[in-house]
Amino acid sequence: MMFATSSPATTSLVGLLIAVFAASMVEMVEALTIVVAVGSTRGWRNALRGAAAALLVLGVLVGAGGVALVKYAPIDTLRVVAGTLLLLLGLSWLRKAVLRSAGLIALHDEDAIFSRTVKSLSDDQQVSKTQDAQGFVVAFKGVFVEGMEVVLIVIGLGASQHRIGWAAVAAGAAAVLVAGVGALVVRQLSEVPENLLKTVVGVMLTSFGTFWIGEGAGVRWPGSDATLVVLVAGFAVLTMLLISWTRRTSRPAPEITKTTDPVAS
Amino acid sequence: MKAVGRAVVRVALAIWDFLVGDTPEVLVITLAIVGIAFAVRAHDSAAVIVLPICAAAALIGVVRFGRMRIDAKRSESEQH
Repeated sequence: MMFATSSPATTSLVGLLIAVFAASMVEMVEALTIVVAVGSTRGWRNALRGAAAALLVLGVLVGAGGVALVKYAPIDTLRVVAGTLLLLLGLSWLRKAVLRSAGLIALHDEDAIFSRTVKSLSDDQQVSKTQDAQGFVVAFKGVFVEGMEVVLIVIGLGASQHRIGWAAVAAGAAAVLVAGVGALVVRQLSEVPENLLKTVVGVMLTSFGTFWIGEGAGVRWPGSDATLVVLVAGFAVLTMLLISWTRRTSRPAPEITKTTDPVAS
Repeated sequence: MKAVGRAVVRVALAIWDFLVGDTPEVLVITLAIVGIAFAVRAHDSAAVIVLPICAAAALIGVVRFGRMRIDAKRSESEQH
């Protein structure tokens, strides 16, 4: 049942896979930056242990929370709750993406995060047992904090369609891809068009959220899942208009630079 | 048990921070849309138009609100 595709259309499944994959990729790039910074200063053993422990906890959260919801919660209630969660995340992501595109808030800068994490961990050259644990904690926290948003998206999108398995696979695939590519070109992580990805994910989450809130409340959308395509197109156009309008009517602050806050995603 | 309780509270606070953070208006607007969905659910033809329009208005609203907040902060710092 976790991989069931009983829905009449595959539109929502494709949308689910794209949204979860892109969201997971964005967050995992941020997490990998922190893990690499920890690895290169405190040693790879602790960095990888911290990352693995965080991924394990996140996996348990998806397994326990998501599967329990799918099994025991009434589908309409689940859809309203998941839709609310997705709309909440979608509006937040789009709000930030539009304001970032207009230069009103800082872009995320992986290079700066890397440098700052390395500096904070390598201030003291003497590595005691406590400091050794610090590497584990920083890597764990980095992956856990970034991964939590992915967990919410996986549960929200997966549970509302009874496709937790597909959502988890998409998130896992993105994590593996980012880890693989990141290991080869780790210093080019800042080249990832993060704000564009966030905009795409934000549009999809907002569309899914609106759709599932309606479905859960008992609204019958014309064309069923095909409505999602219309919603995605509509929100994409609106987002582009908002970016254009915000750029034209606001003055970007000259002091705005890319943010170095690792969790200001 | 205390450690478990603390961990649960921390996770709950982290989730709250992700979902709401310093933008409670997004939560309020989202809950309003849920309320509207239940209010119009009996009228399918109206609901399929009203819901997307409400979500679009919500997006415009949160962006404008975010911009106003940034402008207010900026003019406050310029005054100092």
